[in-house]
Amino acid sequence: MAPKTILVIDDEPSIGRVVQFKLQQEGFKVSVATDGLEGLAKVNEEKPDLILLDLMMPGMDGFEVCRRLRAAPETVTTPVIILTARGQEMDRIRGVELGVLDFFTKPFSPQKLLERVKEVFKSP
Amino acid sequence: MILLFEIIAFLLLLACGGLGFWVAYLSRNAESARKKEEELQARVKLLEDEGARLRLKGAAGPMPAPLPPPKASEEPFSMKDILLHVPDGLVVTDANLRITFANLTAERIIGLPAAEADGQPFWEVVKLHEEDGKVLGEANCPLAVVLERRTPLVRDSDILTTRYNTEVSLAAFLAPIPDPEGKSRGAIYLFRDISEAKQVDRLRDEFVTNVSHELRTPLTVIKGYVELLMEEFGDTFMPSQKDFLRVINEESDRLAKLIDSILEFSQAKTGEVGLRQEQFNILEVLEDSIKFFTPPAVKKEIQIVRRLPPDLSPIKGDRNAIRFAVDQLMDNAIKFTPEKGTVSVEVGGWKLEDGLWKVELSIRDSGIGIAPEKVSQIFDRFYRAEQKVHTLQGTGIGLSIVKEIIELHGGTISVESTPGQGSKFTIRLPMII
Repeated sequence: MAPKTILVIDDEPSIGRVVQFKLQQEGFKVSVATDGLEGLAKVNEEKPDLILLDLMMPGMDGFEVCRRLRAAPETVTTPVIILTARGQEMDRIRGVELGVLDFFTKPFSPQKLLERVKEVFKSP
Repeated sequence: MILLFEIIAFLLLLACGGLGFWVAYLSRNAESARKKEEELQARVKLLEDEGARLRLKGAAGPMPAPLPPPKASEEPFSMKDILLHVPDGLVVTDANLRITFANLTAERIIGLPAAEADGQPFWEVVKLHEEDGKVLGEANCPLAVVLERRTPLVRDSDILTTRYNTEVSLAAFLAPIPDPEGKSRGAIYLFRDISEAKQVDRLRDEFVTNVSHELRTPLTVIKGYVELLMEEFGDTFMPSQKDFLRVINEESDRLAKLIDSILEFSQAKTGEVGLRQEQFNILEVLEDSIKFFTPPAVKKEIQIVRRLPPDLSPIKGDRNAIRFAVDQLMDNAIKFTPEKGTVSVEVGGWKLEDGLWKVELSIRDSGIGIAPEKVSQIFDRFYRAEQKVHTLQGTGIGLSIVKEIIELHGGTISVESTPGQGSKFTIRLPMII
């Protein structure tokens, strides 16, 4: 079976690299985008099986990226996990409305993120 | 001689003329005083009528003709003059929520001449919605609640849509106007434009959120790489290398926790979350905190001595905030107490002169103490008692937050300290009996 592909969209390249390293160790194919537009372009190009998405990014923020993903038939069901530095309740509510799978509040443990990612692909 | 006579006659004439003038002047003056008195009485009557009208104006009937403008500046002001010029917006309605009066400030904020507002339904003139967008119309007009329940109401987060289609945040005081039997005959809506203050609050919230974001992102990177190093290469590290990584990791955790508290506290202060009002037992909070700090205490062979009553009335407030305050004090006490020292935790009731009770909670360490000249500064933001001692951790913001939390609960915090012997922090909080 081909490896699952994961796209990390985070304006902080170092976070992208940590996550990429951790997930690649487990055999996932991981690519990184550093803003919303680049992220959407890579979504079209690579059709990832899972998207890890930062909320606060310059230009287009994570909510807008998510909204656009949900508006496009191809990505309407693509699982999204939010990586956020803001733990606010309102963000969670908005996220749930946009059908995101989970929230990881920064600083998060790469190990725990990996476990969650594995779980996503385990469930039918 | 003739000349002299003439002069005398002239002077007499002058005097007579003068007298006549004075007589005329005095009588005129008396007349004007009487007139004034009459005018004054008329004005008083008008004032009384106006007062009665304002008190009794009922459901129907056109507004009586407006009062003539005052003739002179020393005239007393009418009630209407005063109400018209009150620098807060004022709208008065009858029992059917039809507007009977709106003052100049209300006109200015709403953007509608009072004459046009007269007789209109309140909700059509004062177009309000809540912050979440819910429109406060005929069905759920807050003034209707006031009329129905006959109790005043404060609303400080409604938004008004003006006639210019702009939005204004209002702080409003609503009150019923009762008749002698206590039924509501009308209602008062007194309001103020607080858009600027709200904007400042919003900017501050955004600022705190952004700062917290800016701080958490590098922390995520640091913690992420430390974790990767430990997990991927841990087997090849020497014990000291592992130990250094563990310190980096622990300190990152501490920083993350501090950012959380600042964010949480800032939100509590701006009222976004608000301090919760719950009943809880301070003894439980203390026990939880002591349990949390037992491992670091054991590590330094510090003995934690409890002097606690078996039971205590609950206090009212935000349990998490109080726990945060207690934790900060415990953290400091253990940090500043040398190995094999003692930290004692004491709780007692404390009766006030007015018969109310306060709970008094003190945490005493056997640490380096605080110099007398520095005691008064330790609750200031970003202050640390011994800046030079690099082995002591702390950001200096902890105690100032503790102080604010305790004061928000109506309590006080104080400190006694003897350099070389230790410090005792005492929190006093109101207690429910």
